[in-house]
Amino acid sequence: MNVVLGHSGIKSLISFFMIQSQKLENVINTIEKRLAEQGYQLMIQNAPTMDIDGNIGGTVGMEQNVNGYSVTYSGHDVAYIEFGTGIVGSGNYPDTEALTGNGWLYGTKRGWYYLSKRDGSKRFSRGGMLPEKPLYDSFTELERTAYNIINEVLNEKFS
Amino acid sequence: MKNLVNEIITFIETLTFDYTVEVRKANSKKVPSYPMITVQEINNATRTHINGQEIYSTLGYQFDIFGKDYNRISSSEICKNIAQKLDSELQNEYGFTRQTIAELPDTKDISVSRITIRYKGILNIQTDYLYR
Repeated sequence: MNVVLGHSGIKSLISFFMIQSQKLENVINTIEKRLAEQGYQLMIQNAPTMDIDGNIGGTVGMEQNVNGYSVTYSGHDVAYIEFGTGIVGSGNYPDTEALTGNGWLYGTKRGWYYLSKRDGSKRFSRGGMLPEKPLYDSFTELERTAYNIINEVLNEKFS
Repeated sequence: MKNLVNEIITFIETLTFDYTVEVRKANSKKVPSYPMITVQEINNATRTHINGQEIYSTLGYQFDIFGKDYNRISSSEICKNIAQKLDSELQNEYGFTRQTIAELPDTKDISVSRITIRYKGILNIQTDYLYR
């Protein structure tokens, strides 16, 4: 860019930066939206479509808010789908009576108890569900591809 | 490819917690014992490779802390106590970045409490240096 020294040169310089500033804001918004859309697509791919160990899959959503965009995974059992329900041993619990004497409390069946987000009731998982982690996998993949997405938008807007 | 699960388990076993803690892999078939920490690798992806040789791996680990009420100390408090110690020791020893911590479920009056923590690290598999 050539700038003429003097009043008109400074005015054109200011005008140039104003345009670039608006362009940059637009670029940031586009990057945010593009990343959110990619995150949403990844979540659709990764989120289970069937029940797992009695846990019902959630709904994937994308929404715009004051901070930009959010990709959501909502539902009653999504926390257990993401993080799993814990594991279970194949043997029997040790002698409950002896342990209670030491202040320990054990369940009577092999498995894990956890609180249902649906109705607040205590639920039991005999199999123990390892984490399905759709959010984690989507985030990891998005993190890996974010550079390409940002690069793509910058090329579109500035080239 | 390097998997740090066994090394991490050995490391945690050397730590001194306020409670006697059982440490095991998440797919262990041993009889459950409380309080307990389970370790699971949830990510092990090639980050950089040169001439077919892997240089950096992105690693992800999930730690689940399970506890039951003990001597009038709530299971939730026991889990939090163990989680704090575990978190500071893992960050100190390995330099992992904590990505998530979740209390699942919030069990005020239920027998089992659980805290799940996830960490990430970038491992140079040639030098064993771990980066954030």
